[in-house]
Amino acid sequence: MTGTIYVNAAYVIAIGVTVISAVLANVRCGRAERRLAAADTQRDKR
Amino acid sequence: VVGVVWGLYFSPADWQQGETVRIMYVHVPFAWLASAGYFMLAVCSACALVWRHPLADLAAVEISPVGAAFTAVCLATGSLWGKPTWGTWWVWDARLTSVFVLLLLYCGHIALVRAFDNPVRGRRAGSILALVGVVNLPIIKFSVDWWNTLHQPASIGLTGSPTIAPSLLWPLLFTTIGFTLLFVAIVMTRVRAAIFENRLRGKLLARVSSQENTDPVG
Repeated sequence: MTGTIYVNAAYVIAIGVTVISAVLANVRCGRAERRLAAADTQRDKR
Repeated sequence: VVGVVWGLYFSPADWQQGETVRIMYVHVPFAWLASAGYFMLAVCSACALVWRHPLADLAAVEISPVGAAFTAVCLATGSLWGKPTWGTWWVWDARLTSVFVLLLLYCGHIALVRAFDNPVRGRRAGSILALVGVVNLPIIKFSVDWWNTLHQPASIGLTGSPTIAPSLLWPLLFTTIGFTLLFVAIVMTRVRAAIFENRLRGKLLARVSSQENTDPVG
């Protein structure tokens, strides 16, 4: 039973860090892409 | 996902370690990626220093935070395995200490790259640090052979058959491949974001300079 707690904690940490890293990378990429597209649109309007 | 589910629910428990052996399915891939990530960082740093390749420069900057996170997970999961198996969270043995030094090298690289006002100088200093730190990789790999450590020696090698049962080896291979692909995907997404940010910065600078040229001064 005690071993299971350590196993669960290890999986939560490992999967949690991976998922958070992936989400942060995707959010940053999406934001940068949108800002770049907005800058292009602004330039075209001029 | 296949590897994690297989390792958690379908692989057998070890006769000696019991259920805690399942920690191996996440600990080993993260340990491998901690070292492999640093090797990638060093290769990118070498390319950036020698050939001044801009993409290698960007990749080196983007690899280190992901590598640091994966090294921290490696240490945390190893600690969670050590407590029930060794009876302690941490020992200053050669393998654990050398991986801790690897985490410090990653953190040092992250800090050094951002410590300069001139980003080019910061990235160059980071590249030199990354190349100097490469000496730690063989120390990590061979620490269990060179010194008498509490950490067990490698169970899987390039030469010779693995000393681990196939029922435990297969889910380990799946999690290793899965987490490696995730690591590469995260780094590639970060590099893509950095390219967009650089292009955006270039456009904004170009706009500012064109406005300064058109506006009469005084």
